[in-house]
Amino acid sequence: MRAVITGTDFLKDTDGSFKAIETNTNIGMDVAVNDYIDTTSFTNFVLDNSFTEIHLIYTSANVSITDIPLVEGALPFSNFLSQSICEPNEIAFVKHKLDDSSMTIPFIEDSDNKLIIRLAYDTTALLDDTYARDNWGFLKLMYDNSPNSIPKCYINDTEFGIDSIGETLRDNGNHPNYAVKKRITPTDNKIYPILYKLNTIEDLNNLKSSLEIDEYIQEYIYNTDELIDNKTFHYRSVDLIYSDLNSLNLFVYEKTNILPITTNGDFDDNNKIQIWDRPRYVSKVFNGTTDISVKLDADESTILVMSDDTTKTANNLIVTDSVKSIILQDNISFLISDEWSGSFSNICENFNITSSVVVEKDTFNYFGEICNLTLVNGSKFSDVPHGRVFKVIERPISSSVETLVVQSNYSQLKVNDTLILIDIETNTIETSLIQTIEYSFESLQAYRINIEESDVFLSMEETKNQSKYAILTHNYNYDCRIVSCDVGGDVQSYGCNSGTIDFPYPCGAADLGCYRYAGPYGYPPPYACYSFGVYSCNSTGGTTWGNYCNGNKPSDKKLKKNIKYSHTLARGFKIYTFEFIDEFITAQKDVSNDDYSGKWQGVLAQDLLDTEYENCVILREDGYFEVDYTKLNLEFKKI
Amino acid sequence: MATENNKGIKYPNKSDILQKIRKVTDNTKKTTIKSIIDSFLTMVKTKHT
Repeated sequence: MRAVITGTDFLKDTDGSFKAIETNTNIGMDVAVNDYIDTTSFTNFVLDNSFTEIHLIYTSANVSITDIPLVEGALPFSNFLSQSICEPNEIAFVKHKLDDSSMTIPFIEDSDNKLIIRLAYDTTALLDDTYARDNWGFLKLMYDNSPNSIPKCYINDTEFGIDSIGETLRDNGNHPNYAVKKRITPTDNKIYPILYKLNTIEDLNNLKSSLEIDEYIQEYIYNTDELIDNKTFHYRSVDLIYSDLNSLNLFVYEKTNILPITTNGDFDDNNKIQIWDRPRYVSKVFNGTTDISVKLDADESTILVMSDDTTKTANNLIVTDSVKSIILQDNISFLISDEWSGSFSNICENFNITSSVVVEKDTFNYFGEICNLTLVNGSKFSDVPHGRVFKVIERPISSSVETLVVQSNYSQLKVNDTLILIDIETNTIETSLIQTIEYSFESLQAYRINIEESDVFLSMEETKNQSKYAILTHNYNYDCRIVSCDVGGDVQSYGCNSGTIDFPYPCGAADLGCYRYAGPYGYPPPYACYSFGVYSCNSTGGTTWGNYCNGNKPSDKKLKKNIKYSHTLARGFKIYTFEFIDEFITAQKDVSNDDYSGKWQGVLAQDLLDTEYENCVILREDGYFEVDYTKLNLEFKKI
Repeated sequence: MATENNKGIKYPNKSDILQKIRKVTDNTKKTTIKSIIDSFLTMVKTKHT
């Protein structure tokens, strides 16, 4: 039996009726499916049909969380099928993962004992091509069956034409009442739907005459009778369409728009909703993860302190400019990773102010979240979510507490976090607590900035009538993570996100060993090993290796017990503490004399399956998963 | 509303700018939606067979 999963979107009108908006195939599962799908119903469906095999045809887009992460720990659909449906009922589960760009699917011979579920797009399939890709096909069919099953539309076409808007305009008060949409999906979510507040029939007629050949007008349903967290929402029904176009509903959910409602919409002179107000009225303002994958360092309001103590806005900054920069700690401060931390007292005593040169600058038209900070000392800073600053934390060690400096993205900051600032008049380090954080959606220019040698520049406060403090800012995209050291030389190469380049590394010793510099201040071991990460060199001519650093490590959930969730890294995967089961500890002692007793910190291999880190997971000959922590760029450690 | 150029309203909580998803448990709503989908599928079947 062949089946396809569809997601059909509805809006509930103010009269209580449901209006179908569109149907979709190739959908992402952006909920924790194990909490949403009725496992009993699905199991009964499978058992009633005597399936002995379930095949799932999908791409990575179908099983991961799409758009802004909505649900912590959302279980990939494939894992749900495998763990909740197939394993308990002794049904074989076969995954067919396609390239994300795949337009057709591989042939899998159908038979009565197989349930072949397709999530991935198939351009040769009827529902996909005629009704999901082509909104006009869907709307026309719905309209011909029941005009009130869809919002009122104007489609100017001989085959699919609809004109149900009539002469009376929808009244949504001071909010948009009509939308211009594109016929074929996917569309550019940053532009479509274009929302208008039409006041007269003349406005409507003008809009009709301005339509592109593949655009149509649809009334915009604005219904505040039901709200979630003061936000309007739409319904999505996720269904398994099988056999002769029968449906098995998997679940229905409500998904809000991004921003809460307000009294009025914000319109431009053409009565079009402003770009920054669109997140209030539509659920998608980005194109999948593409638009938010670019990590930016600064926005047009960022003011950099130059090496001569003048200032310059980021938009005026040019390559070859010399900016004031900071070396936080000895000679390794220009190599900093997510895991880096340094002793606060050591940094206060030993930081250096230097000059760095702008070697790259890329400009982007940014639309998205901006984080606005107000500190207790009155300073204000704002930046894009991935702007990276330094904060002070306290971490218990044994019977005392160590005060460390760590990096943080703006989006990770919280009220009462302590930020590191530089008083530009005295060139001293100061700290201040975050008093408030406000979030906004803005449309502006933003930048990737690469400075060398140091990666830490100074962004001036954006405070009215005050220019005293600058915040330490680390450029995100040019953070360097891989170093290969040439023993005996004084030039090493390191790899940045932008590529591998050679750079003179000031180790200052002829016979160099290199070790990973990451984790808490206080190296060497246990953070010493050759792997991806940030390295430092020492002058002792050797490298000290930790027993359990990176490399391939047993990470199968089945080999662990007392698993406790610790935290989630910015990269998206979870970190746990755990112990290994006794049988495994004994076996490893016998086989390799490795000691896996005690408490450990790392990932669960199963979490990484069907994610972008899947290539870090290895299936061992004994059937258990292990994880290549080197490739994952993460430390597997005993705690 | 009048806002600064290119800027939207500032919100005090991160949750203010994040989307929420909620499972529909109301069977009346689910039945209504299913009936619309089923009639769509019937129409597809009629048109293409």
